[in-house]
Amino acid sequence: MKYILSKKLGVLLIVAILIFIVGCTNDGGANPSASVPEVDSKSDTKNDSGSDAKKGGTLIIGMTAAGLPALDTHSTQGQEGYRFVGFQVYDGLTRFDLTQGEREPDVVPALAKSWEAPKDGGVTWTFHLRDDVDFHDGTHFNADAVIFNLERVLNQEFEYYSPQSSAGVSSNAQFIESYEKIDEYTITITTKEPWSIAHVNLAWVFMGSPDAIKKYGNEEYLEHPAGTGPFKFESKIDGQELVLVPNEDYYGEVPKLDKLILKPMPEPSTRVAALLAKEINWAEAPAPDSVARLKSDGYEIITGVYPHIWRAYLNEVSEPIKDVRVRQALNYAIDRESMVNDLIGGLGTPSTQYVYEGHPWFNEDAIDYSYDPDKAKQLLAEAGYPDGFDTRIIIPASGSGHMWPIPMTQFIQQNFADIGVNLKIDVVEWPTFQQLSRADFVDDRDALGYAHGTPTVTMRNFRSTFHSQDSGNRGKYINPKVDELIDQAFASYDDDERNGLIKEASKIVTDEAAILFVVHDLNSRALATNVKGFVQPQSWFIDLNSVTVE
Amino acid sequence: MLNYIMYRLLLMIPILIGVTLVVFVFNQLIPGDPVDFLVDIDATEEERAWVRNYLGLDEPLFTQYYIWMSNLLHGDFGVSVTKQADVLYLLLGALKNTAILILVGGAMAFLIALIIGIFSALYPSSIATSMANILGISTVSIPNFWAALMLIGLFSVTLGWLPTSGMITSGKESSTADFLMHLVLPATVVGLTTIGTMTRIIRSTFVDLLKQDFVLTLRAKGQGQGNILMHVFKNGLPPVLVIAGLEIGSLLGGSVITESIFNWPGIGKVLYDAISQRDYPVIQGGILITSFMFVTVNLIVDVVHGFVDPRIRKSLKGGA
Repeated sequence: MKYILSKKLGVLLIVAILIFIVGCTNDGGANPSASVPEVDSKSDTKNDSGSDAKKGGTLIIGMTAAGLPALDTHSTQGQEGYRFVGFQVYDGLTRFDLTQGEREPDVVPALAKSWEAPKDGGVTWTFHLRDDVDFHDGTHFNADAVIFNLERVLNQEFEYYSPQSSAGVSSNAQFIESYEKIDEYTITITTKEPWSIAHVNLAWVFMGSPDAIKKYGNEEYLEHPAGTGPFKFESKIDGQELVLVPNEDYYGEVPKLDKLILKPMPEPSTRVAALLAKEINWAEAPAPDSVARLKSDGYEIITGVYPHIWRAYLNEVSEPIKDVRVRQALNYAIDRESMVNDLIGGLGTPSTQYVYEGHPWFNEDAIDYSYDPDKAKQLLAEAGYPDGFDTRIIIPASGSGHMWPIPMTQFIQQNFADIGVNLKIDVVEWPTFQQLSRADFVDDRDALGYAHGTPTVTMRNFRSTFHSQDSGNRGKYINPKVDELIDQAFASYDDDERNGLIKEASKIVTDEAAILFVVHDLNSRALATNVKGFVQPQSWFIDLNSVTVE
Repeated sequence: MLNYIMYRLLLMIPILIGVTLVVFVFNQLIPGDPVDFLVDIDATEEERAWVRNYLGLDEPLFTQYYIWMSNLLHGDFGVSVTKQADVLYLLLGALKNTAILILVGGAMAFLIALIIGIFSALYPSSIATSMANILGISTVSIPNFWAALMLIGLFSVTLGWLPTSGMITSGKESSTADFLMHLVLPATVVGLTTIGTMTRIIRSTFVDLLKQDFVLTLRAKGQGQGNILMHVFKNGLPPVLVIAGLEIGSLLGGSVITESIFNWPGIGKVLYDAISQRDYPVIQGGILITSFMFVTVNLIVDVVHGFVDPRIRKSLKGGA
């Protein structure tokens, strides 16, 4: 009896396993996704041949992001999420003009058609809103919508307060003290202290449809996002693709594309292979060693300067580094030209200042750190280190915006060896890196510093690197004159005056070699030849409205 | 037998509790902080503290563990910090994709190994056997990420026969055929190591069996090769099946890198991303579910083993 029972049980088990296997495979074949059923991604997909509707084609982009950025009013997956999802699906009150590549993008009206900066030492901004904008769900945009969205990220007592969104936009919204609706299409925003770049920061503070958020709640809203941007959400398959389509009612230039498909492809080799196999027609950040192959196959490699710097914070409280001559020597020791040309295949440009040449903050009168090992040795000798010294640098293994930290630091290591500085490299994973760098240099008085890449878009980035009172100033660089200039800039509501002040500060931090300037990234991307109309702006962000695929 | 299964099922409870403890403690030991993936790099300490508080990361460790466990017992695995989605929903979706990958890859590998293994046991000195041995050793020795890149280079980029990555072709109607095309390369890579290990085990098992007295007897009775093979097969299958079942564990492990390279949204990739972003709820839930699968597979293997091998069944009859 027992035997028969266990035999039956065994048969049952095997049948169960079989059902499981068959179930998996069938299901997987029909709908290979982990997404919710109601997304129903494929039912109404138009054929890619583009026979119907417009003929802008389908643009398929391989992103460096590890996953699909969340479609909330803040983007996940870092600034990559903002580049391809946030700024495409949403608008802030202002936005960057990304349609030209001649100069740094201006901040231009978006959901606000105009604004008035504070006057006479005041701190209140007035924004006049557009009255002709609808959200993707058809509801109307007005002052109440702005207040709702600000409440959602700034007021912890608010019913629809979203901690995630709040954390996501914190650095671009924390200057806000209060906000008020004046009439149906006018609001005011009051800052905590003079904050002359409020209109720049507000480009990142997106407006989502209050009705959609109320209807679906903060979590479900991610499946039914409704912004006002040039593209709107169509469908997604988790980990695979996000499909956006043009918002035909967009108040600006309606995108020419039929469809924009975003694919997360964190492996550089995967992106390049997919591009070569024609599965995508746009690959972000191809690896330097694949550039030659891509070029010879006719792909267009697009590069261009934008505010970004790969640099090392120098530990200005440690013994050799605190001497300005040592810091200058280190900056003279790096052969930036051959690093960008020979090592990273032209995907970067030498950095001798915080910003690239041609940027409003670039100061021609500052010291030019050309490659000069003799001068470096001489400076070291003057500082009392004729035989050099031993030091240590911490770098992340990889990550978005950090370029190729390991080979680049090894290159610097060789340059330093030539002037007698023995550099030890500690490679850590990015989360570990962040934790270490936040702890300042508590346990590592011998450390040279931390090297990685970051964008330098707003004045706040400049402040966080060089202002003595900013927690982002990891190297503990202190110069009261620089602090003063930065403070003045934050209180100046005139663009030229503001840029002039930072330019002046830029000379000081360059002359004092406050950080180790290495390279500026060039925002490389490889495009198939049938992708037309793309303009590379001097920005991390891009405009896809004029792009077509033939 | 039933007693035995009951006993094994009960044994899973302390094992899984052990897993939760280990995962929880190790999560705390790795440096890094999920807060960094929510806030801007320039965020102030106050902003960070607020997010920590919201995520409950400022509670004492014991309290955090207690909260997690009591939610788990209610079937609540928590919400992913970085993806803002329910952890169980994320993991089950990914688990399905991984299951397809390793079952197809494993089955293919097992069949190939069976053919090569038995053939080389029967004809140990033929040239084909030497070739098969070389193949077996290569599949074990070649790192699977390298094999993956080479296969993509050959079949996708150069020949253009198969897609490079993902599960679907963007911009095209999805179909089963399209899905299967996407499955070929990752499944092959996942199964690669298994081909090597299984071939060795199958060959040695069958070599031993062919030397047994009953084979000699069968030969003496004038039985043909095919008939002898049937008998050997019946005796050789149980131990081979056990090892094949245990291989699922290594297939699961090997899928992490394969999924990352092929952009296959399985549990390995989800875990890999979660670890690199310190997404604690996903790491904890993911490892718990993977462990559960592993323990379950072991249980099934043991039961099936007993089922096909009367000797084992007999020894289990009295219960544990």
